Amino acid sequence: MEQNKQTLKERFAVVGQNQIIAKTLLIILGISFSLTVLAQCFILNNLIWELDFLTEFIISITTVVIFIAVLAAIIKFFIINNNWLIAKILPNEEPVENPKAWFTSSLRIGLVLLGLILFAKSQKIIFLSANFLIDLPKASRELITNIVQGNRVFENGFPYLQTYHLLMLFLMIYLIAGAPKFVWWQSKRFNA
Amino acid sequence: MNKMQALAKILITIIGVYWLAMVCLSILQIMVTILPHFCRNPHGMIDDMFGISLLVLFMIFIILVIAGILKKRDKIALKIAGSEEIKNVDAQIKWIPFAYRLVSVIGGMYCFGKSVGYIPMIIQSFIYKRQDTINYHQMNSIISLVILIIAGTYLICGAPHFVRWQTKKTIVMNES
Repeated sequence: MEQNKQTLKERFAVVGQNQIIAKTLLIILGISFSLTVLAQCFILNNLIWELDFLTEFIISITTVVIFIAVLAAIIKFFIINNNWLIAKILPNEEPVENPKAWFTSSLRIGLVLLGLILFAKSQKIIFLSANFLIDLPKASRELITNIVQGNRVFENGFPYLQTYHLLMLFLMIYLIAGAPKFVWWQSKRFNA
Repeated sequence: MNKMQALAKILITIIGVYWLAMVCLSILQIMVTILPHFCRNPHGMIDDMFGISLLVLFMIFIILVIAGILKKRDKIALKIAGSEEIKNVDAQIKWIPFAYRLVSVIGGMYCFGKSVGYIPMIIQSFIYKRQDTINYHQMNSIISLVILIIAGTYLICGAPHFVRWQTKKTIVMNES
């Protein structure tokens, strides 16, 4: 059993230059897909705010469960266990010298590029997040009062989108900084 | 021209042509926005002419920047990838700053291209929503435009501090 596991690991090991590039691209694609799914989840929650409390609550919980399942599948197959996918896309290659260092560098560079693209695409979230942070005490008060009174969760759907904007802002900054902890974690898992 | 310079040149050309096409599409969008309004109320347009001309001039400036990048792509590729003498592209230490600089230039071009998208929005709000004060959405568009231009300029220049910092961090990470 243990030997079989070892053979599988060796079979799916990423050692070639093209394989490393493919692995990096899959991880970046995975993050990009995850962000799209997350955006859809927040947009849907933003659209249902007009419904009554119970309906909104039920729809929110159902969508969140579905979206978490999709997100988990994307993270598992694109980010965590992507070696089998690379083995299917690319044939075996000549091993490159020090593949871990190549992978770490290329992943970090790819993530910086993704961060810069996110910045160019959605830089208006800097302005929106600043607004949200200013309005945060008021929104928190509103949320607590509405939960206690059993009213609609929010007076309008903006807090859902604003939470998403804030999350995106932190992610954007983290990616532009080179996502150090994520790269370190991926390098630790590389061919492990 | 070595492998890195060729790669930089190819990427700059592809992205430059793409953004040039996007800018031309934006100009078309502006014309579609302005023309019907001009046909309906030609006199009212004169008041807005100054603002619109300024934004159109800005758009021409962006076209010139992208066209300039495309024209001088050989020189820019040379600057990004280093001098002609570097033949050993496998040396990781030389590959990392090159890749970061290339990523910065691509990000900068993307920022410039994106900034053009805000111009039709600003023009539209000037024409259709005549207001003495700037509202929330106009302010948002103007701030976005300014952020994109500043970031785009820094990135197109190769973002020297950012590249140096990222290279240092990557090398440290590889060594640890």
